Amino acid sequence: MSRIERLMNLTAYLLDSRQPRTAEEIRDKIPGYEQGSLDSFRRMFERDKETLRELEIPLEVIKIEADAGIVDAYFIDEGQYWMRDPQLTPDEQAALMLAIELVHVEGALAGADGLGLSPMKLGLDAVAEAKDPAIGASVDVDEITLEFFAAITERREVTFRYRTPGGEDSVRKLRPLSLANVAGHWYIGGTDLDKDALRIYRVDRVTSEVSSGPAGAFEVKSRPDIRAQIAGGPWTFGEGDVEVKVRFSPDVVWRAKNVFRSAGEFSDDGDGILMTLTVAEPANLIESILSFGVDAEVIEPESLRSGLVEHLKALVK
Amino acid sequence: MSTSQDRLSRLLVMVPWVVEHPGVKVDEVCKRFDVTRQQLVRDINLIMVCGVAPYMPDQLMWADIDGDEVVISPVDYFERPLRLTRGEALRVLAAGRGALDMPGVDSLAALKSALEKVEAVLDESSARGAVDVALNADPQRLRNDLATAISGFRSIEIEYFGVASQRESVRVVDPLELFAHDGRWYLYAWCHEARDYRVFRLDGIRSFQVSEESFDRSAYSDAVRPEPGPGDEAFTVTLRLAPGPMAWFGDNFQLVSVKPEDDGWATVELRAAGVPWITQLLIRMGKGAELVGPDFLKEAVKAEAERILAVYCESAGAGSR
Repeated sequence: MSRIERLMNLTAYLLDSRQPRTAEEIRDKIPGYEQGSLDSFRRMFERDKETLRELEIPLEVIKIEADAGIVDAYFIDEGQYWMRDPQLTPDEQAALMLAIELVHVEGALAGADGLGLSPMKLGLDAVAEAKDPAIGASVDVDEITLEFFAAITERREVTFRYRTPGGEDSVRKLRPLSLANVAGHWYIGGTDLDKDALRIYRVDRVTSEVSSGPAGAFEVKSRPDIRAQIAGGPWTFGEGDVEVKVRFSPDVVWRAKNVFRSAGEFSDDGDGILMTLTVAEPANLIESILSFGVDAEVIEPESLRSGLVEHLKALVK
Repeated sequence: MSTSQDRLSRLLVMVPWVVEHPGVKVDEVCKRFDVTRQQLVRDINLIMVCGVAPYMPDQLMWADIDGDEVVISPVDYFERPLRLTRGEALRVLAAGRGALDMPGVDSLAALKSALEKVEAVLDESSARGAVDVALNADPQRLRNDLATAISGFRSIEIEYFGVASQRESVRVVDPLELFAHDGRWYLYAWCHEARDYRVFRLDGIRSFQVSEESFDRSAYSDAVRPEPGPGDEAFTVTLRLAPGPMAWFGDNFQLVSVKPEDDGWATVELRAAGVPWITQLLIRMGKGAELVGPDFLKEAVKAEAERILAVYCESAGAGSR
């Protein structure tokens, strides 16, 4: 009786059972357990339970009343075990398959060298479109990032130590809501329970293990858009819709496009290249506009023009 | 992961998958599940002996390789594959979100809807919109073209915006290495103008042209790539920073020293790559940063601020309403 056969039968038995099963029943039913002493069964069963849990098979345990008194009983929750079919159309299958081939997610994930079992679990039968061999990207994932991801999906509050850029190290309690990789770094965003406000933390500044509370601890109403806040620049913070126009010398437009990305619309207005951008808080743009020196000029709104002039006047006193 | 773990996780997906694809070819099963024919035969033989007591017909599995084809009979308990592990889920979502930013992905709408559907089946709504990967599309293209020049030993001419000088120049360089440091990409190269090795930021490269000439890589065998830093002409600057700018500085610069003060401000020392660079930085920080020294920078900052102010005064006069 091979171990793999025993594991298959154990999984099948627990999935097939309509009720939780005691260790005694399991020993009775699974070939391979009944031979040998009770002690050797217990050792085998412990090891097997651990293996199933390492594979993230949702093996649960509850107390039930049996002839021998209150004992542990085991079950696998089908709803938690089964992969639900996402019902992707052929186009969606091809697009997702191409994405998995283009972006290599490396690091702590097991089996990250091949595509693994995900395509079959997702029902990706379509073959990916041919990809451009000159294009590729890689994203590293470490254990802590994976912990945060699990906490987000299971809605667990997390506690960890965090070192600020200034070197201050303290404990943070967070309701984790979103996870983003921006410019090569992972960030975790959520509600900071001590500050009662949304905060974003860089995962590589976490200096301790992440400890997670019970699952289902909170409801998710909205998620912070980490990319917009980190990569989009500080002008996206806050609420509001203000249209800003900035004129650039043609020579610096390529750099302006690198800074403002797709957020800015560029057009030639005769005197230079005009950028139109809708922002939440125009004052937060001052710093970025000044990085272009005399090659950028705010045209609208007047409040931003005067704010920028004030900012500069403070420097010439 | 041990062999039985690997095998169990494969079988829990392979059984329902083959059931769904009756008569699928042996080669295809081997390719998709990354196994040899021999391993597949062993798996099929194993499936044949598995089932649930008391082994009624509907609880027994039956599997066979018939010539070229694989057949597995359906059983209720393995009707669906084991769900994605959290690592697999993160990997699929990260790859999908990242690919939305990349050139070469034409069917963005299909990818977006695919990701939404995957999120929806993962765990009620707890994964929806939770993961994002921002990949800068343009340097990606540049990166690949540069990699080709490096492996082909081709000299390149670059239009480059220098951080220290805050201006553009045209240089011919022999590209040696492409590397990422703190989430930013750099090119390490021999610069013909400087007659020395230089590190260039990829986001500072405005354009480049690959020359027909190849260079002799062995001439640079002694090259040791440094960590990106402020460079040889750097000097130390002392600043007092307000709390907000302090956090931003810490994220973006290697600080030589940090002395926190009681009011939340901090006195920091940093290495400035050049006068134009630090001047521009101080202009941007405004009241959030106070220059402690060296003194000569005070004049440079003032002069630059006046130059920019002049832009606003002139245009206010010209376009008076």
